[in-house]
Amino acid sequence: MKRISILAVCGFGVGSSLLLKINISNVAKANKVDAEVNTGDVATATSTPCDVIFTSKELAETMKARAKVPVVVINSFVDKKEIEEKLLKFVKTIK
Amino acid sequence: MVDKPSMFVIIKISNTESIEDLIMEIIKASQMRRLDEKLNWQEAINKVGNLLVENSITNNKYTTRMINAIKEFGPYIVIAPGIGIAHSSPGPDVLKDGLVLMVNQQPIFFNSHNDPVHLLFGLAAKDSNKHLESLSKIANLLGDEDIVKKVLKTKTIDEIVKLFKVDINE
Repeated sequence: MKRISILAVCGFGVGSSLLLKINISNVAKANKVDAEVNTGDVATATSTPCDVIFTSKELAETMKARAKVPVVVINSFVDKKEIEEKLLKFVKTIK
Repeated sequence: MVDKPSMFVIIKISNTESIEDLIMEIIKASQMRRLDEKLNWQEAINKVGNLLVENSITNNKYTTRMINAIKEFGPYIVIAPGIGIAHSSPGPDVLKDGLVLMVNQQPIFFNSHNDPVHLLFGLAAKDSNKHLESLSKIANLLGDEDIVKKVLKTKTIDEIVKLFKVDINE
């Protein structure tokens, strides 16, 4: 399975998306998912190449309207269980 | 105990500080404030902004940008039940990397599905990933489902600092 490129998006790519990136990376590692996780902000996210975008509920609609890749909504950036469930669900869709 | 000379690289975060020291530097008592006031979300962000300014992390313009970010994008900063991380992008109004925390016993409503907020962090970065290590530790801390409850039960700021210290060391 090739490496997945995940983009964690928040308003400015500085605060919350860093947290989300860290948690996605940790969850991916723990589940042996080969993923590269980067952060982005709303403005540049849709022009950044990636396989999937992870973002918050508030930004999801904006992302879905502009993105060419699937958008996964995470309700709580610090809830590892939620991130794990949704990451594994996405991984299944591309296998 | 060197069995394989020159084959190991020992990585240190810095010469003098452990991760705990870095976190504690970021969340010092001076960078924490605790209140029991009714605040709307703008007032709450203003207070957090003032805390950043008091600690020479940013100037007032950054506070305005933090508020505008929410007006533009909605309350995406409320990243987990009870917890918000106010921030804006790097800019000339950020003097140094920093993190502050305001704890309000009373709920603050951001119109988010993760409302009400009791722990509101203020984060400023100068355009670096230096915060990454510290944020990952804070992330682990925030992953404790009961952290909001635990913080609200403490009586003093020192207790909050201790709470974070204990959780970090676990």
